[in-house]
Amino acid sequence: MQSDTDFASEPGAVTTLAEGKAYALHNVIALDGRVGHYPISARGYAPCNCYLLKEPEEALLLDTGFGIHRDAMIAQIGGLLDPGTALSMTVMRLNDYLSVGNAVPIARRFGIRKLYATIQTAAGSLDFESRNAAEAETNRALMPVELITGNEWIDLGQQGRRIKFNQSPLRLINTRWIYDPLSRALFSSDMFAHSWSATPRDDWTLTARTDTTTEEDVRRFMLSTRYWWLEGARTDELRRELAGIFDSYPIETIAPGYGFILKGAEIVERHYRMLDEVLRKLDQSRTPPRYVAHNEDHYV
Amino acid sequence: MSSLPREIAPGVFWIGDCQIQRVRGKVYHGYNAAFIVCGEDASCLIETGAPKDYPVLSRHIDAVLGDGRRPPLRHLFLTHQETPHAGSLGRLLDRFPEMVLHGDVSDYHLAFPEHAGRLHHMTVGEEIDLGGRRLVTLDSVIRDLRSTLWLFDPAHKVLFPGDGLAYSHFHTEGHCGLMAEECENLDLKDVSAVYAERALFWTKFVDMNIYIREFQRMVDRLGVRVIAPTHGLPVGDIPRTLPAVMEGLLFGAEAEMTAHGDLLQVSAAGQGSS
Repeated sequence: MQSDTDFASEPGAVTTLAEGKAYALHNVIALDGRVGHYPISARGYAPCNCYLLKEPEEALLLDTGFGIHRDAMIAQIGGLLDPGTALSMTVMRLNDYLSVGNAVPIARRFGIRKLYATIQTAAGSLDFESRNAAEAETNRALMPVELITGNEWIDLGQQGRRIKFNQSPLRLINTRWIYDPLSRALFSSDMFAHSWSATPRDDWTLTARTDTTTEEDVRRFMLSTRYWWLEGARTDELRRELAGIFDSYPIETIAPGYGFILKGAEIVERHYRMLDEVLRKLDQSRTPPRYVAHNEDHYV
Repeated sequence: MSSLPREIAPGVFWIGDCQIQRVRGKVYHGYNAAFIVCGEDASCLIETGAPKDYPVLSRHIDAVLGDGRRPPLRHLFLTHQETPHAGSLGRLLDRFPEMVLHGDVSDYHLAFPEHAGRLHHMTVGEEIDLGGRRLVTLDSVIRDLRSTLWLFDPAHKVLFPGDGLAYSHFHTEGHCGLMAEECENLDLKDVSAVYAERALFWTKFVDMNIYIREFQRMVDRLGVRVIAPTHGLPVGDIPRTLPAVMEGLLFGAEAEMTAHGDLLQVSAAGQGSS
């Protein structure tokens, strides 16, 4: 099995979501029982996905990756960012090292115009380097916070492009889902992340033609990872919130924070319906609630 | 109000800092606490606080261990990977090159690859030996990440439950640094609701009675005398305080979702409404 350091020595693949406008920056990790985002028994490989939305005047980076991918991330961003284009940033999960690991190095390398965040102290939450107040202030100054509610449109660049932040309808910890009308992509953070590969690869896109995911795959993944609590929960409420997202936007790509990208309206609809059906069956009205111990693995 | 470090059980020191939480027009405080447990041969740090807390944490470690009267810091235990718990991890491993990180150590080799060789993976029922004192891992009854472990000190019956018993407090009421039962005017329902809404979303959709009963069973089975949570004031009088905290947890799980980010609180305050 290839190791994480093998992958980290080279920048990962980049997937174009919309030419010149939206890109996925993939960096691969080995699934060997040591990755909390995946089931403990999962074996194979998965991409950590950060995203770059580009306009001539400004680009917006969604997430910053694990620390092991620092150099790869900087190379990928540098390869896409045009000279003179300002970089702004947001992190989808403020408490997750997969989202926040390289915020300061990226800010130091490229400069950050705005750090979109829902709390005023967000910059401090991204600093894993400073050892004293002076260093902390220096690092905070690299990432000026643009305070948002997390449920609004923001302008990207000066050509009229707008990006919508949404409170995530289904979450473990505070996170946002982001919708880009230009690419018709929903950046779904830790949702729809239920896929990995048995072998390393550069193509991390699934289409209706290549997709073999089943409803059982979705259910087992959710219950074996951070959504372990859904069994016997009040999921009908969550389904209504989820429907609100899919009813509001024309979505043709689902771009999760890790796992395969789902490309095409057909596969998007299919995975949304599978998730909805999983939630429906897990509702307390159909599945009795019980105590769920930590690290339950529904693959064994 | 009391200042930290504070010894809350023999050889168990509460350290760390609060952070401001703006919710429904009020300003709460919440801890991202850490604890030092001293054995005869080694000391163990439990949790590392939020990223911003490194200077405070480092100072507190020096205050507890700096004069050499207590054994050196050789062990670190993290309940789970989220940055309010693991925020100072890299800097602490840099500062204490002999220290080993224990727990479910998923993801840390990816977050801090330079320290990948210092990770000791644990499962439920394993121990950290401090010399004359051991710490035992437990199932995490109330958790968010699946990989969460709790820790227990059998010698003095101290439970370290991470996110279990998460509730805020009020700086303006002098609550900082106090045990829960030392606080006047600590409305556990209100302050528990804050955490449930901001950090424990899942508790609002499950039958929390199941998890509360399991938690009580654990406390009874182990004879817990002190509970040292990461996000709440420590509890030193279990029969008196734990029922109120559990009631608060249940209330928080059922309370209406109203909290938003700081921006809406600022706007609401400016308009004179919450």
